[in-house]
Amino acid sequence: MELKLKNVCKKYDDKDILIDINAHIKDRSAIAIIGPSGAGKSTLLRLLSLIETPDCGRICVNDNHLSEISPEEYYKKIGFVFQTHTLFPHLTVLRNITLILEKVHNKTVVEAKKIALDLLEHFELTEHIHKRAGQLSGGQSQRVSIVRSLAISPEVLFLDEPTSSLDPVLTQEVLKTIIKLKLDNMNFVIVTHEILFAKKAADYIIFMEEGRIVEMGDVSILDDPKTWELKQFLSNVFLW
Amino acid sequence: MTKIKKTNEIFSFSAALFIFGLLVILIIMMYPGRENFQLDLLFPWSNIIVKGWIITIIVSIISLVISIILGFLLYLLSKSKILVFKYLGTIFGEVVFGSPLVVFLIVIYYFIGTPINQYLGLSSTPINRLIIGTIALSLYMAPYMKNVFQGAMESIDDMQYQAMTVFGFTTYQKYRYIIIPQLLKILIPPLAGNLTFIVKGSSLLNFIGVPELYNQITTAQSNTYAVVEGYLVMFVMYLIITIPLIRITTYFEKKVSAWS
Repeated sequence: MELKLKNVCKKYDDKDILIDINAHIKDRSAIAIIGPSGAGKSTLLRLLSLIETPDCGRICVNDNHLSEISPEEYYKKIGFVFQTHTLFPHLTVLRNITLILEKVHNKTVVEAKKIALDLLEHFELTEHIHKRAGQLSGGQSQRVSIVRSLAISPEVLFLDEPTSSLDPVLTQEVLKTIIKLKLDNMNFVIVTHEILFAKKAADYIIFMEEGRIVEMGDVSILDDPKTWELKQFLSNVFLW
Repeated sequence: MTKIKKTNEIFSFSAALFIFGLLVILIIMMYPGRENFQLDLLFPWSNIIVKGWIITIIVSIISLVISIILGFLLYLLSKSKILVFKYLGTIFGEVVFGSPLVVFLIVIYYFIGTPINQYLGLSSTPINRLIIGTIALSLYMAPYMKNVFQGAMESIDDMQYQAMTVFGFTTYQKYRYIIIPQLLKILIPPLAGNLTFIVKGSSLLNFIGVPELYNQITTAQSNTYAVVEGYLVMFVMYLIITIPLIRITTYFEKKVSAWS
């Protein structure tokens, strides 16, 4: 995938959240955005996925110039996984997936069902197809959310701290699913606090602090940070 | 396993109902005036009693429908950016929550209904009282309905709306496939609960002379002197309407709570 950000900024209530973001990342399939809370990571992801628009600057994801494309058109090409699962509680796992394929992506009932069942099998969720979100664990719900976003064969999948609401055991369950995405060569951008996981799953790291990109590069920057801020951040993360 | 649990539940409920029935029979047996207990005195009045019972059901259903519409309008008012509209709804809600139903009905009937009748040159017929009573009952229930809508709307969290947008659903699709099916299931228990409240509250329409169940049985009682018998019949006839409604409420409450 290719990401181009030029002079991007964003404010909420006159408070600068993102300040002059510039980046050009090419030929990477798994990008992890890391940094302390309040660094603007989730906001950046929301701009990349066009859930929100920047106050200034230009963003380009692959061939999609986000200031020129309509959100509806762009949403058909991407997947987004939120911090907590967003399964529709009145529908079964299977219907959560097939509804989108049938109604938004105009697949037939048979096609939609086949896509959903294949993916659920691939991610070892077949036994839950007739359950509703209330009958699943937090980890299972989040995994289904990921599968649901994958079902539309997105160009890029955006994941916004998908494990932030989970306990350590369930976190591992979800992280394993994301590692599988990497093995499947899926393009994804993930905001995460799990540094060891980022090192394993990503091939490019963006480190942010106070609304700015402070350092970015291959995963090797996590072993050999160039900036004092990243060094400090990593030493705080691995305090114990 | 589930079937066994269900059978056990049905058996236990029937047993509890039986014990309760025995208790009622025991109370009747021990009732000091049982020698004079003559239910048959009311038989010749069964037609008007059933008529009153049907009127109670019809008034309740019409009040439910009108109060749902008014409640939704009050909900919209509460969301209005024009503060005057918002506060109009708030003040009306506080007036209702602060008034006993019977007082509210009488005030509406005598201070609003009757002057309008006189202005329009209408006489106070049972039908006329029925219409004013139904409107008054609906007005009283509207703020309760507003709260039902507010609770239901808030139960669909913001993340779900965001997810619908990111998945590319159109506004129609969002409402048709995601929001309305959820709202319907969430709304049914409190609506059935409010209908029970309306049925019980409709007995107070007797105070403005609406010929509903309470009123008709009172007429029968004053003609036959079967006062205790009349109240017992009234008691049972209200329960015939309200118990199924309470069961429906519980059934849907369980269904909805299974989602969370």
